[in-house]
Amino acid sequence: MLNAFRTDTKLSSRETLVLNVLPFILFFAAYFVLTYVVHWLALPEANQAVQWLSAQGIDSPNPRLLPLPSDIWQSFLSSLKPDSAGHVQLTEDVCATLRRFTIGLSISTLFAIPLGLFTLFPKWREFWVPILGWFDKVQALLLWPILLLFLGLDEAPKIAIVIVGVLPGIALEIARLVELVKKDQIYKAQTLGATEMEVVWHVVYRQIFPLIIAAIAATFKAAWGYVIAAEMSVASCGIGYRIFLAKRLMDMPTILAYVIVAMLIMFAADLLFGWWRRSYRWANQ
Amino acid sequence: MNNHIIKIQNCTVSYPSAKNGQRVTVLNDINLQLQKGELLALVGTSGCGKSTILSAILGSQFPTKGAVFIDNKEVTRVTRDCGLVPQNYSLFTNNTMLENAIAGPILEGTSLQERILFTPIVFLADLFKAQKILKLIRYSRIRDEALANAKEILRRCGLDPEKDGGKYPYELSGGMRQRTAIAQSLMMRPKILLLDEPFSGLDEKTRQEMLDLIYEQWKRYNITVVFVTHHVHDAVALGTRIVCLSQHWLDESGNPGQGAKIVIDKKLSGGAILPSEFVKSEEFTLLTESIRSRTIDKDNPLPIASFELTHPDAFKTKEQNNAQ
Ligand SMILES: Nc1ncnc2c1ncn2[C@@H]1O[C@H](COP(=O)(O)OP(=O)(O)OP(=O)(O)O)[C@@H](O)[C@H]1O
Ligand SMILES: [Mg+2]
Repeated sequence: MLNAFRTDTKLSSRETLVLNVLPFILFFAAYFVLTYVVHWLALPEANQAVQWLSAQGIDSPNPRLLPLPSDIWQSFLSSLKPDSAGHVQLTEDVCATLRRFTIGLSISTLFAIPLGLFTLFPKWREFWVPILGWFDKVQALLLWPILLLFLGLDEAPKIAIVIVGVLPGIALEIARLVELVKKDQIYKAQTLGATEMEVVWHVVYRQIFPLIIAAIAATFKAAWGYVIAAEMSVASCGIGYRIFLAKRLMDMPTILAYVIVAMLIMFAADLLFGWWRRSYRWANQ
Repeated sequence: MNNHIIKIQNCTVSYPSAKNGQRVTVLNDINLQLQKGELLALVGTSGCGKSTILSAILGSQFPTKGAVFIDNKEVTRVTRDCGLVPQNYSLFTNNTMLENAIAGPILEGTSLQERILFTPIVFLADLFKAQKILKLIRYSRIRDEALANAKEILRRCGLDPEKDGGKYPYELSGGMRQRTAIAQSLMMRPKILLLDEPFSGLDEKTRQEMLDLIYEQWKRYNITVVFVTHHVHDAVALGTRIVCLSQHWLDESGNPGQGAKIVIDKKLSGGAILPSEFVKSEEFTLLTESIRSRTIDKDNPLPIASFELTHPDAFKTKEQNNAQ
């Protein structure tokens, strides 16, 4: 503890593990203690304690705001139970949100990659980079009403908001990566008989591909956020919709269960793309 | 008509200066003609414009004034005529040694569509040992041919394609990368090979091996080579001709000039080993000293030199020298 502020600290793998896990244990322990105390205060036998607290000017908190871990687990399980029509609420919500997220991000990537790569050509660069720079500064959520007016209330605006939100950013990041490719390599490729398009493919795209993966992964959080925000506004299923609904019913266990599921999905996506990027071992140098 | 393979004619290169809108002259009215099969050593101080001359020959940098001709055709873009080994060896980082070596024939011999379509098929066929399918695909035939060829050339460049062929550039040593880069350009049998400081960052032994390597490839393929170096010794040892570029020179009226000019231009034997008699001769001392004073002693500009080498040993080749 005393030597926490030292740059030359050497850690054994066990110490590393302890340090990594400790914050989780502390966080969950604090949550457990807090929730159990709050729930105990709601019981009749805690009457004295409540009175003593209010004498100190402290209102006892509403136990519904701090659900017990077991309640969260229960609501997670109940959202996995098929209803009378055989629909599983959690799966349907997650699938709906993931579908909007994936389609939006795929379309963005599909257009952003050629757009970014072609900035290798000065005319493309001068034409696209400034306008993309401006669009990148537009907060996509502010365009949500416009998207609704133009695209209706269905799936289209929820996918469109992801595209509007992340496409310029991915294209600009790729344009930046293209600039970092050494000119000498391009000339070298031309002496080897490469045409312009072959330079784009062989010298630029193939070499920056792992970094493009990283650029896409960097937009996950924003894209995920746009979908959820859109679902909170207009939807009939989805993680955002369900949380919004649960808030009205003050169904805190469901909210927290969905927050945890949404967090785990992002965590898995990051992990997956991290593995994918690192699988190009030549790019890690 | 003449038989000069490279002709640099009144070539001036200038850049707009960052400070005051004026243009800074880098190369000042350079004239240089190369015969086919010459091995030209380009020496000069750092920043005097050696790489700029190479890019003018390559076609990636156009002269502000004047022109460069290859085989009497003006250079307007980067073409297959030149092979390039850039200053910071830029192998393709996503390709292994072997893939780097065959990059030329593949780029040349196959179309982009063909590659995108057939690379996964060839990969899978390779994996499942379906040799019969591979023979049917043109892309695969070109690739096999190139691979056989590349192994031969890599071996000739002192590499072991069986052992190191699958390594990525970051897994290779500086010398190995340099050799791979040379092999990569030799695969294309260029008319002209441009080497920008091929010996920088190499230890003494590797440098000697690289000198021999370049000499051998030059002999074997009878190509015209232009190489840039900082070391006077390498230049005199390897080049059949040595050209010294300097920003420090005096014009006819004795005033310091603007930009770099060719201040020494000499023919030599060339061949990676200098005849000892020549090394001991006064002429050799005079040559190296005057090159050194051009490349090291900036405060003492000299008029443009014009002396001819006469020592008979100066023109002995490596073979003649070895025979003794
Ligand atoms: N794009 C550019 N814009 C402005 N000045 C440039 C540019 N490229 C090169 N120069 C200038 O031209 C001069 C010659 O550069 P060059 O790279 O040809 O030198 P060099 O002789 O190869 O040096 P080194 O031995 O360090 O490689 C340098 O002074 C450099 O500052
Ligand atoms: Mg240079």
